[in-house]
Amino acid sequence: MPSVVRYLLALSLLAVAACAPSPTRDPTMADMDVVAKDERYALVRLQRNQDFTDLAHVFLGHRNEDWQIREVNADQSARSGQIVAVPLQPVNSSSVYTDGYRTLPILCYHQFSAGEATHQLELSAADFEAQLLYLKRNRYRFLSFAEVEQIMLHGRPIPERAVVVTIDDGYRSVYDVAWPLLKKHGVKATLFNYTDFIGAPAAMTWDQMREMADSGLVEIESHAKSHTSLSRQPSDASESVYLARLREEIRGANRAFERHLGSAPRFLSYPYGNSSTEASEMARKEGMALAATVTRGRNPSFADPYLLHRTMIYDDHDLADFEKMLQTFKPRRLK
Amino acid sequence: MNVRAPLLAVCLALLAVAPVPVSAAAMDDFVAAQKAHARELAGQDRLADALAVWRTLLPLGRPDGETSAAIAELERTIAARVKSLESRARQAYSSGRSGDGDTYMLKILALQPGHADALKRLRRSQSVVARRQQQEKSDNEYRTALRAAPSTGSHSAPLADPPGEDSPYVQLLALEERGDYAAMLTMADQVDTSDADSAHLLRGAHTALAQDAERRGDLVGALEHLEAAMLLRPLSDDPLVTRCAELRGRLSTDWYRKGAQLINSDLPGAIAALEKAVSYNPYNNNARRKLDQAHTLQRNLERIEGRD
Repeated sequence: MPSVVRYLLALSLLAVAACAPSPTRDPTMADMDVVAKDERYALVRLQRNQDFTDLAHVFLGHRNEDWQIREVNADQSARSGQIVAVPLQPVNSSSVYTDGYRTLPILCYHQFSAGEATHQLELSAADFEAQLLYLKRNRYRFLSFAEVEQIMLHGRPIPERAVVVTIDDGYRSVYDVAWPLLKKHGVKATLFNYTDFIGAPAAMTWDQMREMADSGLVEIESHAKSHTSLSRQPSDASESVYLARLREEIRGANRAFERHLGSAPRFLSYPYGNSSTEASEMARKEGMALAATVTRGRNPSFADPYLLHRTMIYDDHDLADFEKMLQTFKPRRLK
Repeated sequence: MNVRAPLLAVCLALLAVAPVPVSAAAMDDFVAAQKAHARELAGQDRLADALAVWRTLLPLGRPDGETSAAIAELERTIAARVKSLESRARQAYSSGRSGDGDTYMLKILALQPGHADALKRLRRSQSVVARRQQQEKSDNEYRTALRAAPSTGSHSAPLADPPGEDSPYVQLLALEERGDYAAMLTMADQVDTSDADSAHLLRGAHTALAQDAERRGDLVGALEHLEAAMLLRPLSDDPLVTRCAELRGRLSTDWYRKGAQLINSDLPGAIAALEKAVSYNPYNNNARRKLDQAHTLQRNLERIEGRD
């Protein structure tokens, strides 16, 4: 074969290789063709093989934020060469629309079993995986509590279909059964552990918690120190005794977290989900950014950050029940 | 030698890797589509969405006349509606119609996302409801713990000073278990029940009696019980504050209606009714205006009677 033909063939192969989409490489700002920009929007010309999720990944930090781009563009076709407006700041930070408002379901799990569940608060691995798969198939976006903080306190909108997975108490089965499934499906979760329990035979160890936290998928947060209810008890003979108990429950746990994990937690789940005006106030004073109950209800962007609602997931819930718990929008006529 | 095939491949490949060329048509398409979409959204009264879409054209530089006018008009309309909704929300809250007030605030947010006052007010309403739920749950748990504490090995620490069998607190507890709230209050008038635990029980008794009174339509009685409950055991951000405000608003509205009805037939009666309306809710502007009107009428009448 003449050398010129060989050269042209090689060149064409190189060029084809260069333009083939890379399955592993996410786009970067260098791949974006920004044609105009102000403080609110960037106008970007879509390149071949780019779609709204690529723009969301680069400009908004996550592919699933593409809904923010769809909200402000008439043409949703994502054609090569199409001009697309990308919001550089939230267009609707409060997530309230003329037909209702978005809400954030926060799910609360406790224990898991490899086989059949043995009590109401325990979920079998098969049921847990079925629920995770349901969420993934239906394009739910899993949020960490750090992201919930951004929504509740810093004006970030609630994503289109968002859900938060939390697991209370710190049982060993979280590490043995739930953690492999969270890893397998890349699901974020927030673990609320009480520190007096950590290291007990039925509980996780600090090393296991560190391993999970290091993955970036799991947040380890506080469920107070001893798992006594933070609402007022008969033993709280006076207001000052009650307040001292609350302080020690939160502060004592924080000290243990700092000693073993290197930093204090920022989020609290009240033991038994019980709070009080004093307990919420103490959580705030002790530096917690958010705190959660187990009272079922909706969390709009204007929810009380120290009384977030969560939905307990029980063993006897089937997928139809589970689906009903995922309330992400409250319809209201607001014109 | 056939070099056309590789040459074609090279050309195609180079075309594939070359950046998408700048196309004026693409930009024209974008502008036209965005304008049409914004107009459609405005037509559906989705003003905030329409404004957001019009604003996507601003990065292109100096906006054309249609864009500038549309943005200015939407900004004006939104500002005027927000102002009106703010005023209606204030009236609703001051007359105890918190639900209506919250709806106006939600409408404000639908028009002006991130409106700080609306978010603040809605968060306060959410807090009141969530705190009430927690308070009820906490009260139940407290009572359960009290019953369990003397006989079971509960994980709670034992009582520091267990109250005696005949202590006022234990007697109050027994009455509460029977649901005899009126007897609890009678007992509180006769013996010292100033300790924190008794105050907690008495607060609960007043709250229960307030609910009964409200069910019977006795709003004045309900208000008195709620205010007594708050005095017994004040809490920061007390959820009863809102319930009192709601009752005051309803009472104020009732007295205002009565006063407005009487103004042409029984002027002193109307003035007394309107004064009550204002005393229950000093922010009831309708009642204030009607009361001024009644006083003016009364002065005029007195002047006429003086001449006669």
